[in-house]
Amino acid sequence: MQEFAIEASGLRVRYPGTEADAVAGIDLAVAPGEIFGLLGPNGAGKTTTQHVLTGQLRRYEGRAAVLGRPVGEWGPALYQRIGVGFELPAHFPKLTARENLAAFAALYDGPVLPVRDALAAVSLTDVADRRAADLSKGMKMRLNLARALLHRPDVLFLDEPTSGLDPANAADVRAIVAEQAAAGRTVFLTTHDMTAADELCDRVAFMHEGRFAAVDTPRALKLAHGHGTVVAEYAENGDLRRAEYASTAVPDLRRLLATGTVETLHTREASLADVFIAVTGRRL
Amino acid sequence: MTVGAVRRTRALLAVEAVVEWRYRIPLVVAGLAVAWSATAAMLPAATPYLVFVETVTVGTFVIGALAVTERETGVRAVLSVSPVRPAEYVVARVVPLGVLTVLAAVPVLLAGRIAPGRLAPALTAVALTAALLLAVALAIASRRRTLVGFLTALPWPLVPLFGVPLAAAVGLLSGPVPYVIPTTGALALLRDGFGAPGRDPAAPLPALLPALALLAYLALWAWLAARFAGRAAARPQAGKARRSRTHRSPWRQAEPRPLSFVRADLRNIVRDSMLAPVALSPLLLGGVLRFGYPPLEEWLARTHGIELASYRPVLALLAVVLHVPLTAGIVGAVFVLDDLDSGALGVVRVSPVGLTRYLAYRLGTITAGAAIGLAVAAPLSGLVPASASAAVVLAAPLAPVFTLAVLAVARGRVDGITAVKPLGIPMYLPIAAWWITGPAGWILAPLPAFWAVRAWDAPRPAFLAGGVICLGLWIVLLARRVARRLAQ
Repeated sequence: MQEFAIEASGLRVRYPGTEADAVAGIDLAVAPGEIFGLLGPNGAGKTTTQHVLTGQLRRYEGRAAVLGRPVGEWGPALYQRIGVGFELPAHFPKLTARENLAAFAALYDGPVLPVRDALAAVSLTDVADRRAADLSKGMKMRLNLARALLHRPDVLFLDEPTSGLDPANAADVRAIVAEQAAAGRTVFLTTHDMTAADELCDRVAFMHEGRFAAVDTPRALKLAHGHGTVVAEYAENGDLRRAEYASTAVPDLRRLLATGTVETLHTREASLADVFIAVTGRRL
Repeated sequence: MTVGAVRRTRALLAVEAVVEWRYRIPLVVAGLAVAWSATAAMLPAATPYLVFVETVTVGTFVIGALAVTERETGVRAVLSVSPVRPAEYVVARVVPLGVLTVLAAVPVLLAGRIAPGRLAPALTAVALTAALLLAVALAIASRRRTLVGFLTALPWPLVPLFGVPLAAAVGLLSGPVPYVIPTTGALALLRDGFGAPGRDPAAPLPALLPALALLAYLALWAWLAARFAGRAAARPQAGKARRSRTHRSPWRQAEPRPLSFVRADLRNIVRDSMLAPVALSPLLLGGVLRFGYPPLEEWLARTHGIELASYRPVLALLAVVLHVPLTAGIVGAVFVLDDLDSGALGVVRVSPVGLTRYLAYRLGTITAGAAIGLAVAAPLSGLVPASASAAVVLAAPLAPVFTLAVLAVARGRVDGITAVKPLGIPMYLPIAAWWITGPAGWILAPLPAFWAVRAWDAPRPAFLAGGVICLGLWIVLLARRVARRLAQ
């Protein structure tokens, strides 16, 4: 029997004073080394799910286990094995980036990443001695990520790691997350960033009103919710024209390609955002 | 305690030491210790009370500001998903400030000429009382999102922890019952070091309550408070902000019009169960002085031969005329610092209101609040005669002066709350003008509260004019500096 890095069955959470479940009986199994993305609008139950799995929320029904052991049984030892990156940067503002990482690294029992290596991993070596309060948002987010990686956790829980970052910074963060998975770590990614989810995740779950509306690989979901057609844009008498074909095997498309006038050619699989709208009926 | 726990606690203590040093907290405490030591040297009999009320509480407000800031910067959330146990967190927060408190108490007790052999029990009492207060403050701060919320909740436990010991010290309460409050024993031990048993018919240390028993009882309460703080701190910290009933900045609202700010502030007061008592505190203060002070004065004269009647003006200046505006000034500063740290001030800066109008609004409401507070508390207290109306008028602008003074040196909540005590010294110092006669008294004239003290006897136009000029200069100079700092 395979041991999953993260498991949940019949997981249900209801906050006091509310009439609906924030998490309404979800089942989940994430394999070791997998990057699993949890997508959905605000209030869908993503953060609540992550809080249960990271031991921050203890009032729940059903089963939630990390690294083969129920979350409630772990106690503080859980945090030697998992790393948690929050949506907002978290640091001592009066300490430098280097001092921040050294301070957090000292809290763990096992071997930790040398601070200089952690800083290098997130490209913060140049600003290592600058106070955290004075770093840019992108730098703070990378410092946040470095902090979550310090103790070489087996499972990484990342909440919106690319939130508010410019494309270059977001790409850097995605690369760092991909490196973690390549090193064998399981990554549980909560995000609104469809590019990050599409690029990084082995599987994604769309969450809506506390339930999983769909769970699969990004490719399968995009194909399932897209059209099996091909769209070509081509020039004709100085004008840009557009034509849709049932497949690439259609003779008309082949003839068009042979003219050398085709400027763009696209398959029409759905984007993850399209999938989300289709499965939840809501926009991100 | 496991090896891991020792290592983690040591690591947390090291971080805390660096953080406190960067906030210059040890330097401020050292400066205060010098001021307190000078006071103790001049008034040895007041030393136990000075240590009990001032020195022991030096970290109480700071720990709250640190905890609230830690929560906002996400550090608390990170620690909640690290191997750090709540007890380790509490130790790391309480011990450094507790040590600072004890170090500050040493020169004060020595300057007050504490009896030989009594230093150790007195310092133990200081350490345990500080630990108790710090743990209580940490527990409260762990459940508050803002400094305003923390500061308005803190007085509830402090009232019995200070009121009962002080009442027992003057003999209003007697017998062993007041010793149920653990700080009663602490004050008794401090007074014991200054020969109080020989002078006081109500000996501070009853025979049935030896020093060791008092210290053990105090230690028990400090331990219970630390456990309580640990439980409060252990409550899971959500990554997203939770709804809170404490102060919410009006500047987060989408409607940046001055009237909406007023509405939002009023809503804060009405909806927030903690802010309402602050708004009503002048009424409470006036009532307590009106009905509590005359019998106390009569009782002290009758039983102890202490004649306080001639000091009524000093008491009125301290407890009403200066206290009310300075409290309003602190509240005003804390509101601005909460807005600054939460980023709400950034929103104001890019709104049509702008920083200047924001500051004007804050200072205006603080001044109005202080004026209303004085208008209620002064006549109600029965201590402020009509002839002192000029002093009351000159006291109201002390509120914006104090707000500006705090904002002029603070870059955030922790800086601000650390600055309150040292800045309070020059604010209260002009009361010394009551005793300094002749031209020497004018040496304090540049201090903003000086003119209110001078104008106590009668509303002389020269004093009124001098006060207006002095206060106006302070407000203009400080406001310019504050506006520059907030704009950065």
